[in-house]
Amino acid sequence: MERSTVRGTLRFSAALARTALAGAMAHRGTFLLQAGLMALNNAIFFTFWIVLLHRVHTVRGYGLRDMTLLYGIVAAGVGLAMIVAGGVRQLARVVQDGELDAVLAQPKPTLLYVLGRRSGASGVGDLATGIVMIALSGAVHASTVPPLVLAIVASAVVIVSSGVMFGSLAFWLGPVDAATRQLFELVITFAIYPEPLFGGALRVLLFTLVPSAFVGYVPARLVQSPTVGLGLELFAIAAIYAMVASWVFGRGLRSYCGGSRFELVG
Amino acid sequence: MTTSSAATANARHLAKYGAFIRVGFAEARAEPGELYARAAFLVVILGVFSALWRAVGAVGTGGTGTADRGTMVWYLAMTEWMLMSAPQLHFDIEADVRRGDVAHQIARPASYLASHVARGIGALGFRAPLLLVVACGAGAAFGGRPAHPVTLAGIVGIGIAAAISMSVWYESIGLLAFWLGDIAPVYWIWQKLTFVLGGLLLPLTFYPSLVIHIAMLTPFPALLTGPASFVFVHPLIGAAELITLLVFWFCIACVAATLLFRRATRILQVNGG
Repeated sequence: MERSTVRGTLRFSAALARTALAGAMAHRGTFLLQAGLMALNNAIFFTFWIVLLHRVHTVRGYGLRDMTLLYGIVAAGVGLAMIVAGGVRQLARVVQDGELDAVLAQPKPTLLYVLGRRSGASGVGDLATGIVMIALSGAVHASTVPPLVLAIVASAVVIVSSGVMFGSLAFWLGPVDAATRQLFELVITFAIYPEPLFGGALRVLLFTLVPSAFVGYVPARLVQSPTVGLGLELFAIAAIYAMVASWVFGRGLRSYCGGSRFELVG
Repeated sequence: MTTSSAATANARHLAKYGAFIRVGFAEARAEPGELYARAAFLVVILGVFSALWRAVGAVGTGGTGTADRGTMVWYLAMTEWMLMSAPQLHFDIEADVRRGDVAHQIARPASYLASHVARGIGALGFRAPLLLVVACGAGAAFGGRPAHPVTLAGIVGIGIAAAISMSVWYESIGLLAFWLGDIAPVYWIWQKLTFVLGGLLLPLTFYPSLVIHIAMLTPFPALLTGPASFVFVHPLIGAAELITLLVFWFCIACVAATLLFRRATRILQVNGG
């Protein structure tokens, strides 16, 4: 059997994402409506910060510009994650319903199929909102574009990795779809509030098991004060989360019993 | 028909929906996962906002006076409790439409809409008391003792009515699945309008007067910020006016759901057997 190379796998992932996105765009009207509504949804939610910061000006050092940048990075990260790996939200359900059967015999890594089979139209709305908000924050100049790209990609990688780790719990715990989706949402929820609000054990949690810090705070810090050290640190952390997620999924797959399902994968 | 036989028919009619309420209660009890997830989210969001209000300090809340961190946490505990207790009937209806179950459900000798609301009330009967315990526990843990404990009882009573009214609005959203297929984007917009016009996270009085005026033309203030604002010294809407508004918007929601359902059943096509 031919061994899949890293380059081949990356090329395959890109093709899978393109196909999933094309599938989502097949119904253009619905696609645009969903993307537009998600953008509107983000804009309405952000009015909370506009109204609050109009009254109190800063929350533990975070002003409106900082919040705009933080929210923009998280929205762009979530958007990118949902475009490239939209299947992550359904991972636990796919495992518990035995839907992995159809992709187990495919030549490329199983996890890639599961993640890349779906692409959320809402992801495009999130990504668009994120880019607009980052631009509005005024924190980005020509020189900060490379760290910005790294920040968004790292945020997306950590989001997908945490989703894979939570979703993989279904291999051992069975029907945990609702709970894992809630955990996944928690990562995003904590990421859109100012970092100094959280202290003690919760702070440790946000830098480890519920890695909101690497979805929002640290990428935003990289864009505001870019340094090579911080960039390398964020890159390494995102890579570690991706590797751990892949390992956890692989371990879970060994205990997977299957659902005796037959399905065509194209 | 004699008076007694009409009364018997009415009683039988009501008993039918009583059975739906029991089914809803039993279903909610059989699926505790959703309750745990909602309870966990409630605790987390109150923890986050407790930290936020601690950082912000005492804030002026416009017409409702100045609120300290504890009062703001209790306000959020009440709005979140009402929102999370409300049965999300739109997802059930969307699933009925997607699977085609709606075709055989409307043939039953019971109203499709009323049976869903009855099942929702059953689910509410199971979840609302438990979520109230969690909301009050978390409110006390993060916000201390409520400033006006007596008003909490009033909020609970009106809150239950608001949650039922909310579920009828959810029905209307769910019925849009007949035309849209996926109702998630419409729900997101409704949800975010609830955030702002319903004053979910911030009391409505925080917002500019234009937003308040617009909000007052919608059902959102009566559903959330109206009942929850009783935690403040001066509530946003007085009790009598709030109850009148709730009844008014409940009637509007019922009319909207009925009209949508009539139109939907006209375009319904049944394929296969």
